[in-house]
Amino acid sequence: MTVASFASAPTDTTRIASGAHPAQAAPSTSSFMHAWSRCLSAAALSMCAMGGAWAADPSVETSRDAVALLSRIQQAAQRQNYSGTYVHQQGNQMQSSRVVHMIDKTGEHEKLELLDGQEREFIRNNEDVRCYVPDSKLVLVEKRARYDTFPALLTTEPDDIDRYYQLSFAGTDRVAGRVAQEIVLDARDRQRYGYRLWFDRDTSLLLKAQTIGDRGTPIEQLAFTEIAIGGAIDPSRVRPTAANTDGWRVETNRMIPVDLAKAGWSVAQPVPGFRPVMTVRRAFGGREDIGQMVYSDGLAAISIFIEPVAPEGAVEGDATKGPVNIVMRRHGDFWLTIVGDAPATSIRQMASAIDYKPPAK
Amino acid sequence: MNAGQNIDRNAPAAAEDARIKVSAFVDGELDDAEVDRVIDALLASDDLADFWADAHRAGDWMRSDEVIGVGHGGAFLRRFSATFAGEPPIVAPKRKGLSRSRRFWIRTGLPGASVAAALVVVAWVALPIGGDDKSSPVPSVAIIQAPKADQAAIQPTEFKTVDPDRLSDYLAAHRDVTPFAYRGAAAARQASFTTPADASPAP
Repeated sequence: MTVASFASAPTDTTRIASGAHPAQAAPSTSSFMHAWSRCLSAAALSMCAMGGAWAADPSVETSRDAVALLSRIQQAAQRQNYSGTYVHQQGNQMQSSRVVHMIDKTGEHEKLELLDGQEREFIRNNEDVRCYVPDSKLVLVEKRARYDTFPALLTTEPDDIDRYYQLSFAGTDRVAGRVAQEIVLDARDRQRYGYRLWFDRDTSLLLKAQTIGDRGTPIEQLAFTEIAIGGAIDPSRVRPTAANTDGWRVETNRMIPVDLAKAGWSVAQPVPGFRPVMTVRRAFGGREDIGQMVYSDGLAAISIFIEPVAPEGAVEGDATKGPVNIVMRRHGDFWLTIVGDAPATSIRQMASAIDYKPPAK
Repeated sequence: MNAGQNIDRNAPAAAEDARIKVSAFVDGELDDAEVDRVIDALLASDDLADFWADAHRAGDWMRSDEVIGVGHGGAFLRRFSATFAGEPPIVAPKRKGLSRSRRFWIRTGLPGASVAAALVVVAWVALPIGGDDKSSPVPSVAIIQAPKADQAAIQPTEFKTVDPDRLSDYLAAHRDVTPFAYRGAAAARQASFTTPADASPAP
């Protein structure tokens, strides 16, 4: 993968007095700036208007503190026994899931059941994942390089995450009956979303997470509604519910690591902070040979899907689903689909930065 | 005597003018002097301040797919609906080349159907927490994309012709590798990432 220069990260760490999202501090017109300054002096009104405002106090002092904190949250999700129910909310959708996570001498074992809609459950033993779909008598088998999901948090080691996010503590709250410490990760630029995280004060397990849009309001959230942390977990709780899957169909999702740079693909100037974390070849939607390059800034991820042939009926354009933006476009003979948990401008920037030079034969 | 008191003292028509000014203020369409007058009016009138807050919320809700807060949706919806119902249907030719005023014309001159659509969007978006929507838990991207009022009035929705299931595949494939993601998104897609050669009896 050829990754040319990353643009330097913004360094302005000034906090907005009202606690509003930094993106809101960027005026688009002089009149708006004027209005903004007036609004700051009218405290009651500004509080009324900024529904997503929060009063964040002390910033995490050093980069090392920030990295240590996020790593602790990540490890808490990987190294503890816990079971509980959490909800996911995005726009008009809300779905609940039950998770059981067990650690033993062989590693991680997890059972995730979707409680709404079609019955499905994911059984994970380290990187091996099986999704059971009883209605269809179907088992989907996947082996993944990684399978972290909520309450895990990070895509990569967060070694320089504070270059792109301003971390600060914002007091304590109760989540799922437990005392939670809230931290705020304000995006330092407009090319990524911010996050608010609530982690268990005693165990550091992530209990609630919100993605914050450019207006400073949550656009997606995941939150435990009840949880038990620690203690022994009976191994039967991380086994599939279906005792007998004789006659079920098994389908395999192959995800094969590949070097798309050798094949001629590069991203000349990705969104600052986003670095390649994974490149695979996989199949889905009835199509094979789909390349997927994943870029991440540690928290958010952007996938670039490369297909040799445009899917039937595909048109170039943008789409949005909650915090996820999508750009579909043709690139020579190839079809690109860029999907990311980032503002639309960032996804478009990634789309524009993709280049292909056929390798010399 | 400030502008707010002037506005409050006047007849309903003046109050309506004040609201239009506030609405324009929210959209960043006023010059500095007008901004001063509107802010003074907002400071002097609780009703106007409420209208301002509602305008912000309405704008946010109509322009994004944000998480809905629990507990304030109903009251806000009633005020929002009343606001829309009471708004004069100004029918005027669309001015060309004035992007700054585009949203103003949409706001005040939105065709009836679009106004209704906007209200439906807000009601639809507000339903889920306590609502009884029994439809598919994962609506298509095309549905999400379409109902934004101002976009629907101005831009074609590029993805209307794309099979939403196909986009769901991309979303799910992306979320396969994103920790901070809801696994249900991946689960929502149908099992379509297979080849016949892989099919075999379950162990």
